Amino acid sequence: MLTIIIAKDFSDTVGGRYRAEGDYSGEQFREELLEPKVKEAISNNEKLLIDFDGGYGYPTSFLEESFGGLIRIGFESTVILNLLILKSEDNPKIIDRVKNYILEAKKDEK
Amino acid sequence: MKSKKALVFVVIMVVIAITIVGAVLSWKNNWQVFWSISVGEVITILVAVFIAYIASQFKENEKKIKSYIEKELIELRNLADGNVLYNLQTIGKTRYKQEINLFFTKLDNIIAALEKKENEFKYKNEVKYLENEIKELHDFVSEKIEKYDCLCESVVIYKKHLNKISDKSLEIIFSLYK
Repeated sequence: MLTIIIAKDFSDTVGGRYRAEGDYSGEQFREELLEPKVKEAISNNEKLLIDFDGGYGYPTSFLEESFGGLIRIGFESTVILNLLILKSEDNPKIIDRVKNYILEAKKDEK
Repeated sequence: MKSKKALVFVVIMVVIAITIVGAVLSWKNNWQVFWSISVGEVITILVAVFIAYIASQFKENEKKIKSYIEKELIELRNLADGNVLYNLQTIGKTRYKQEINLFFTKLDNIIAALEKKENEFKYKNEVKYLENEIKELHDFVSEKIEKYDCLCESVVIYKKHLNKISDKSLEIIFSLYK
């Protein structure tokens, strides 16, 4: 199983939505870390664990751009939802939040 | 330790109940016989004492849970009334993102705790209301998370949501004890 520990592999203080706004944005996270790992997981038929613990928390814009953005760039929401294992003991509500962003991004696409 | 205390309590209650009934029966029989009591009467007493004990335990548990819910709601009100969003200029540019993220994590976790008992204590709609207000506020702040100056000037927007959160929390506290 592949793993991304956001606080360790990216930043414990993430930023906003777009790269243009500042460092450690959702866009940067998706492009540099999440998307490559998702592609690797799909090609190896593996799961991808996303660990949200250890950081200071996540702006909703960061989460939406990271995960909703996957759908906007062409991934199927069912594929992503089956692939991802989400871990967030610091804030369990993040898990449903991220899943909703993935589902709602699909609706936007339509 | 707790179960030992409970057992002692039940034993004492049974002894007291049997003694009282025995005394009453004895008085009815002109103080002739004290321990003349049928098996049926003993069982009735035991069942009555057991039911009274169980009922008192349920009441005690309910009281404890209500007090925990109240504490969470008071914490929510305290966070809403005097929080980081009003003090961003004091917190400063280096730390404000961390403080904001921690603040919303805390709000999320309070809501998650309240949701566990929302059906039992019938405040589901009110918690949904709180969650919606927090979501709107969180989305607003998140979209501007990199714009420190703009966030410092958005106090009125924060008040709009945080006042509602504080007021609704108080409403739930009152509803617990009606």
